[in-house]
Amino acid sequence: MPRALSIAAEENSSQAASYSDLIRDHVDQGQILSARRLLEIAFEQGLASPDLDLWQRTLAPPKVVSVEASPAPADRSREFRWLEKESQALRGQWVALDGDRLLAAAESLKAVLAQLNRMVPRPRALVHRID
Amino acid sequence: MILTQKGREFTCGSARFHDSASSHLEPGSKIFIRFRVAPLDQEFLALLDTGATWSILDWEVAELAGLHPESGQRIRYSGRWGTIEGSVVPCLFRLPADEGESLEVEGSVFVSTDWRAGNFIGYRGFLERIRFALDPGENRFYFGPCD
Repeated sequence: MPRALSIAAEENSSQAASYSDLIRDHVDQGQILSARRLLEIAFEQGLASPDLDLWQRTLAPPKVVSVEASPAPADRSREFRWLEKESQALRGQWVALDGDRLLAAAESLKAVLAQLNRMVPRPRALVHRID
Repeated sequence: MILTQKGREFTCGSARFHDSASSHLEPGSKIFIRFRVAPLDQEFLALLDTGATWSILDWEVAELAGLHPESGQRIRYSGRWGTIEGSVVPCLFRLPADEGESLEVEGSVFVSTDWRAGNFIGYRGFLERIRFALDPGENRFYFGPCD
């Protein structure tokens, strides 16, 4: 690489790193709009780096990608009543509920989902940890 | 029921919320809404927290959803619980409706291997592009896309 290009690439990399640090400072302080603006400025200046690309993915505003009717909408009122009245005996555990039926309970979410996976038909449960 | 504003749809769907599910860091009534996070096909509850900068997933949920801190930018997230280290990573959320239409959102969420205190739905990366309203009389959470 010619020396002039090499110097330009180093400067680009250095400036991109500075912007990345600045963006992180803003994000750490919860100043997300400012962080997004800094990222825009960095790109407007032609800076590029994998770190800036990762910030772009991290800070991208959310996007609604679909709005559709649920094939089998579930009213979870019975699950909520169960949580209110029956859950205290299972504090610290993950529970899976279908209506007012307790389908599974375990100390780990992984164990609860494994129990659900073994059921036929596989239920669409409400899963929650009882604090 | 779909809410309207000046004749235009404000929300597309709604679901009942729960307001006394657990102590969840501190005692008292909170609003818990239902959500799903891809690729998991079960529903979870999250505390609706408009004061939280980011949504947070309990580490057990995040891990099983394949949302690992290594795939995002490392940040420090400070809240009333203190400061924790983790990452903000992209994810696909769903708000299931029991009336009207469900909403699917490409957003981002904070994940940390240290976080075992439940799920929170926060503003940046999720709620900031959603219209929402609460009916405490019916315990109903209304939501819709913010065009």
